[in-house]
Amino acid sequence: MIIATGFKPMSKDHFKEYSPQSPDVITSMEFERILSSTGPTGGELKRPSDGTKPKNIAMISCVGSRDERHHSYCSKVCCMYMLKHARILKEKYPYINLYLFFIDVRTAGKDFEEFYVYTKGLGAKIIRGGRVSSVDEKPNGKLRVRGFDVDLGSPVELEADLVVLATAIEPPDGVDELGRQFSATCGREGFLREVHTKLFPVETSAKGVLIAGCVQGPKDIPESIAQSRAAAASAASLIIPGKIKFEAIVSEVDKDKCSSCGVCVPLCPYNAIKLETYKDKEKAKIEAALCAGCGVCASACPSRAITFHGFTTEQILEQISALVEA
Amino acid sequence: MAEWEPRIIVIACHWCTYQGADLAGSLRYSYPPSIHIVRVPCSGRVEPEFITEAIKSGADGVFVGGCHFGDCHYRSGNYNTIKRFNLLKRALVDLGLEDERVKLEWISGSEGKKFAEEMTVFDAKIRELGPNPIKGGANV
Ligand code: FES
Repeated sequence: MIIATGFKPMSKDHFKEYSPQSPDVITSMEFERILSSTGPTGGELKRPSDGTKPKNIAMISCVGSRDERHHSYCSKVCCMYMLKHARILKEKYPYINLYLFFIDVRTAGKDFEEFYVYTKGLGAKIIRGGRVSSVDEKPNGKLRVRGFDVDLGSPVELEADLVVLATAIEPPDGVDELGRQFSATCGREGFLREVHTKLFPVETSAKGVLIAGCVQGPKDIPESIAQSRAAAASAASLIIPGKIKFEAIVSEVDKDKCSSCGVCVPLCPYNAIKLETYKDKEKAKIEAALCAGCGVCASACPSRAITFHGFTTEQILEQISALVEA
Repeated sequence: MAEWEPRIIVIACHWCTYQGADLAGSLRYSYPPSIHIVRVPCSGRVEPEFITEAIKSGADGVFVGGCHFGDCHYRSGNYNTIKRFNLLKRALVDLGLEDERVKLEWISGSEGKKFAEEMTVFDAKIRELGPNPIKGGANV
């Protein structure tokens, strides 16, 4: 099972300071469509409000990302796609004035810095220095953008025909619910979590449930592809042997000791415990293939009917008393 | 009589606190030699009996370390831990044990420094409290 839901671009409506009501304030995703030959304008650059050609375009990065009010994380791809848009624009329409507002430009990755230097060479103005403070609609239909330029060391203000907001990458709606259904855990920001950042990057805490792409966190296309191939390979390596190996560290119920109380059933995070009939009574049974070996059930069993192999109560108590007395 | 040295049992979750202890070691943070670590797969594995047994057999302090909420490798183990721990602690306090003798803390695998600090603070606290009053005595 591979979960690859993709992401959701954050809506501009969250940013009242950037005049989201104006049709000429758009998100990068919308801008991408305007630039595309299969997009709503057939690839022609037009202002959404009146269909004229914009002469001054401002792009704003980190809208909703790296922002305590919204998301603390960096959406990772915005710097690069803003530069991509800038390059496309500048190559096609060199006379357009392009202003790119960045907190700082993050171009980590193969050939990315070169791309940045090249784009800057085309004449796109890079303005570094914190967040743009406001975008206001002017009576003449233009937009006033106010920001700060650290290189000048002073506030800047400019008039733009079109403002493009690089809004944050968000986990799509309902990912938490989806994760819950498959017993995969969600991180603080709402993306699904891998078991281990380095060693198990596509596995979730639920066995056999894998993740790929932006459902795990913001990432670009090459990374998404690499991850999806990894997920496919991991899935294949589970299926192809035709058998499943599981850990020896699992819990087991001694049915004769089990008092049928059932406390363990809802406690199991993996739904591995069921009640089944044994000698005319309902007794707990742990499905070893589902058990992940946390031991929560063994600690809770009032009849001590559950043995948690590898970490039995006797073993641990023995360790404790040895350590106390040594 | 030889100077009293505390004996502290730390029951550490394999995925976080135990890794934190490991990291503390590799980062060369030192923590007191009174600390003795028992590894469990998840803090949810900690039975209240582990703590009472440790106290009964003479441990001067018991520290349980687990993953931060939402970080439990087994999803919800640490929620069970805190419930059990708080109940047990209330019972221990009713029995006359000092509140600070048992402690539950979330320390992640990347918090080597926090591990060392917590251990140092806990050790100092136990030294201040003195030896376990019910050592070998009362049947808890
Ligand atoms: S795995 Fe660390 S508390 Fe559950």
